Amino acid sequence: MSVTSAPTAHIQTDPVTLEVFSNRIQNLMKLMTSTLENLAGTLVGRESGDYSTALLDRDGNTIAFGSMVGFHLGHMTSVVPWIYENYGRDSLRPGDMFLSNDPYSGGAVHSNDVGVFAPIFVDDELVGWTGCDMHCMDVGGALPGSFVPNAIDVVAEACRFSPVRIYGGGEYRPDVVRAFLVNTRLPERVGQDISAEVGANHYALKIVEETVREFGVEGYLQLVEDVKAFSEARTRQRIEEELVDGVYEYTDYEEHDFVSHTLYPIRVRLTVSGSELFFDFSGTAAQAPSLINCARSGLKGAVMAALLMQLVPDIPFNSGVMRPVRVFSEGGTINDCTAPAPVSLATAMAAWRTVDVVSGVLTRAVDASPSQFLRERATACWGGTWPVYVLSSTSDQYGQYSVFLNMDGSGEGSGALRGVDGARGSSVLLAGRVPSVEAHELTEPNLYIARRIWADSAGAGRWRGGWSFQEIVTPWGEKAADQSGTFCTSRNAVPTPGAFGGYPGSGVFYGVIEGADITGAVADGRLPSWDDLDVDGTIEILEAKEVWEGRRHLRKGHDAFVMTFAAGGGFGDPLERDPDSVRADADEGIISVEAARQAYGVELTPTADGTFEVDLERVEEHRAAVRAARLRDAG
Amino acid sequence: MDGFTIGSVKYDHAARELTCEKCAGRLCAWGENYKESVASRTVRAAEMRERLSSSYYLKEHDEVELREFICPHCGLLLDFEVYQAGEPARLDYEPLEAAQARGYDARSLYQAAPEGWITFS
Ligand SMILES: [Zn+2]
Repeated sequence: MSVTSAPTAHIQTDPVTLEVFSNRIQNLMKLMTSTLENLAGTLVGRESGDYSTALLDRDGNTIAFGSMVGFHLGHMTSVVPWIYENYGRDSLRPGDMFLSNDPYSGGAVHSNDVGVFAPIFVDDELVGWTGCDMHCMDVGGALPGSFVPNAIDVVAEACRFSPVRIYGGGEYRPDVVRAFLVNTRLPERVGQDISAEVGANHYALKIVEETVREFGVEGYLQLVEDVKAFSEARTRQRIEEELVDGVYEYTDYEEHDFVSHTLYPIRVRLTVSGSELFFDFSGTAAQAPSLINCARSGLKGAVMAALLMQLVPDIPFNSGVMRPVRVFSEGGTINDCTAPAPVSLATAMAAWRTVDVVSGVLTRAVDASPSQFLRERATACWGGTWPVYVLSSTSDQYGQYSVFLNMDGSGEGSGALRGVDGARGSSVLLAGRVPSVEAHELTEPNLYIARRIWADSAGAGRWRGGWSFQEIVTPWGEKAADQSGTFCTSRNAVPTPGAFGGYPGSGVFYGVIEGADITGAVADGRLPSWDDLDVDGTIEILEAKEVWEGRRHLRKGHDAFVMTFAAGGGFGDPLERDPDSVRADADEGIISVEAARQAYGVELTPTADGTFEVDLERVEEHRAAVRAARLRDAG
Repeated sequence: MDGFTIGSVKYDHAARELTCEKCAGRLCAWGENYKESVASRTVRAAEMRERLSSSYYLKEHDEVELREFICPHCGLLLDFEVYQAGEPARLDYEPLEAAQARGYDARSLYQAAPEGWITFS
């Protein structure tokens, strides 16, 4: 850690012009993302934000990134180099547009990430690239939704296209698009997703052309170099001046590969040295025999996502930020797997877990910083998994073949930060946008029976983790058939870690209640409650990965499916929490009276209006007893 | 550099020691892993449910260990981490020179074989 000289001296563009350009390309990202959201074919794009946009330079490096899915950065920057290597730069023509969803051509974290990329030409001069990426609800393969726990390789998981032209020189190629769509179970909706991406790219083509006309080709290319140089300089300055040199260490675990409940450690050592960062993943577990792996694009994207959130949230994000960063991976590992290893759950498992690991090690580094700005970004783990379930049936409420991926995992609780409780509904990777019950019921053949605060899910702490929620659904609708499904979660035996004495958030599970008379209750004009269904007494908790493959079904109006979503870890010793905050949490149903007493050392007394009172005089006495018990039990 | 704090542990470079932020009690010498010298215990999944409530869920797994690290002087919970059974305690921070002394130097590893490392542009 040392103070350096003015780091941006070599930048040619004046600061005002650079700021105008930087804002223009960020606004372009907003235009593109709102286009995706408005035109997407499913709730995944329209309501849950599982998409990304990027403006790239001529070599495919990021200039601007628009997304809530940080690890999309990995493959968004891998597609263009792949095209150059395999087709050659000279093969490109104005009006080309490529579709890509192969995890091993760098084009996706998993095959559901369908990207559309276009070179940007102005007067036959290549000046850069635009790209979009969206999670499509189904891209074929062995199981509806294309999450395939029993696939032994990526080939069995989905239909994969390495980058292929869907527009050649401005001419649409319907034969190629149809060849892709014929392999999905939802051709109309996936087709709509692809059209949305084409539309968003047209914004970039138009706005970049206008910008080039304003500044000239050379001027535009200089602006591109200078925004990257500016971000690199600011990032190096931050590392050198605000981080403490040294080696920081962290480990987290992926779990359950469908074959067995094996633990897969992902280990990282971060070396801060001068103005550079070295992330060394040596010692990470070998790749799994099933879908929980991610390929190198997922690893790269995860490192970028965590850095973006914790080290440089205030610096324009582009490839300049990443120039001081080096990553070592042994390869053949769970977060850098070798083809043809299966990866269909990469986003929710190994790539997501890698974000958690990098965030965990960065938390140690930013907490050591003298900068208050950085210390406020020290955090417990955010949710830490995306519980994936796909229900499918031969007929939805409208009589159509039904595949539905639930995206409510984006409502997970965030980790507590130094000084701030975790928020509800703040996924680390998405914007915490949970589709409304009405949106669900309109588009999927389910009746939502419950959506409620999950008491004691939040990691206890001086600053409490963000709480999560629970839901119950049953298949529903006049024409709807019984539903089979694929169910995958982690954070099942390995909870969402807290930080520095904060407790881990609750583990996540799926469950089934069989034989409930929901149809009868609704006929009587009421929805059965949690207690009516005796959820706590009768629930069958599923394995962390299950595939029903049409052999088992949820019966319409008779079987209920119980979902839980990940909560955030706590930060700091819960015995240090303000007792009045403990009382307020109990009033809101976020924590139980038992947890208040045993984890927080706060005795609560119920009042007539259903809220609680706390005897502040006795808190310290009780907490002292808990501390003494800790030391006694630790021996 | 005078020192810094990670979590509730003060890394006092001048005094060459790590101390508890709450009680100022000494935890270990500079460059050592404090988790190896403070009070600690393993918490089972079932105990988490007893401590919080039956609403909290954690699947029992023989290989998953939750470990508490406690200040031996004041009882402050310094960390509460998840481990695979039998793993050594993680080292939150190690000075560069200490890492180099035991043979780990990421910059040298990179310089010796840069093509083996992932870079981003
Ligand atoms: Zn202490």
